[in-house]
Amino acid sequence: MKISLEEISKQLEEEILIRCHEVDEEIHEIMGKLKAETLVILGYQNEKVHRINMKDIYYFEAVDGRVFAYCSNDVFEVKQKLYELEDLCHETSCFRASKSTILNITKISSVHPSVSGRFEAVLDNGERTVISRQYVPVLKNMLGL
Amino acid sequence: MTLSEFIQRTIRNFLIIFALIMIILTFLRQMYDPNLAFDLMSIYIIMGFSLISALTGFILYSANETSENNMRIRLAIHFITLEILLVALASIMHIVTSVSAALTLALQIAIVYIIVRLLSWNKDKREASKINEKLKSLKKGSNGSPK
Repeated sequence: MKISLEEISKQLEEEILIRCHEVDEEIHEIMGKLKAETLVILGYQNEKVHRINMKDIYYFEAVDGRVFAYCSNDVFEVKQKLYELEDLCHETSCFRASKSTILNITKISSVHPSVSGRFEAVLDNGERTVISRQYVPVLKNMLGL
Repeated sequence: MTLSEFIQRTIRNFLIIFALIMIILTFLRQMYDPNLAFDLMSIYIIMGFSLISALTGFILYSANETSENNMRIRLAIHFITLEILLVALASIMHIVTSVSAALTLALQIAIVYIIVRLLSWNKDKREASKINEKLKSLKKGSNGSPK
């Protein structure tokens, strides 16, 4: 695939344009990667606002009506609802893993079945989180299985 | 899973359990006692057992997210409830008339329960293995190595 680069003036908005013969899985994958690279979420911690890059977020979790973004070592509160984040993360590497979590596939180290009939994801930072049985097909679909 | 989805699943499970018992019994009768007819009472008993088995699934249902420990406790309660209900129903219907027969039935239920859980876990393990392979290749790809 030919890759072109064009420098534009500061007045114009930056954009990435993909010209392809057909929008296939590979194109969707490239778009997902680009979206994850450029998507920034505002996270609140100790009355400070942080710009968190989507690719640094391990997972989102809703707890008692509040939503938190979990990074490698930090936890930030985000103002969006879980379903809003789900829309925002559409076509990125994130997927709904249970009623209360959205998980970043790129941060999953491995997946194991649990005795209770659910799946448990071990993340790169060693944290463990549940993947509900009903969302396993979503993960498999995203992985092309 | 919403409550309506769960009810739909419970009805489906009831019908599957009932159908499977009837199919297996039909073949067993064909093989060992083809002249014996099914009486209406037997069918109602099988229906009752199937319904109770399916209804105990409500123990595992939760509207909110539950922890792994909570699910394991629910699973234990589900198993004990199933044992008590099925042995009690068998006793009421005079299918089991002695303590040893009740214990044998309880043991049979336990063995079937464990086999079903093991089969399900084994299937999940294979699925997890496929997912892990894909995750590995995804990570290799994102690190710049060839897929």
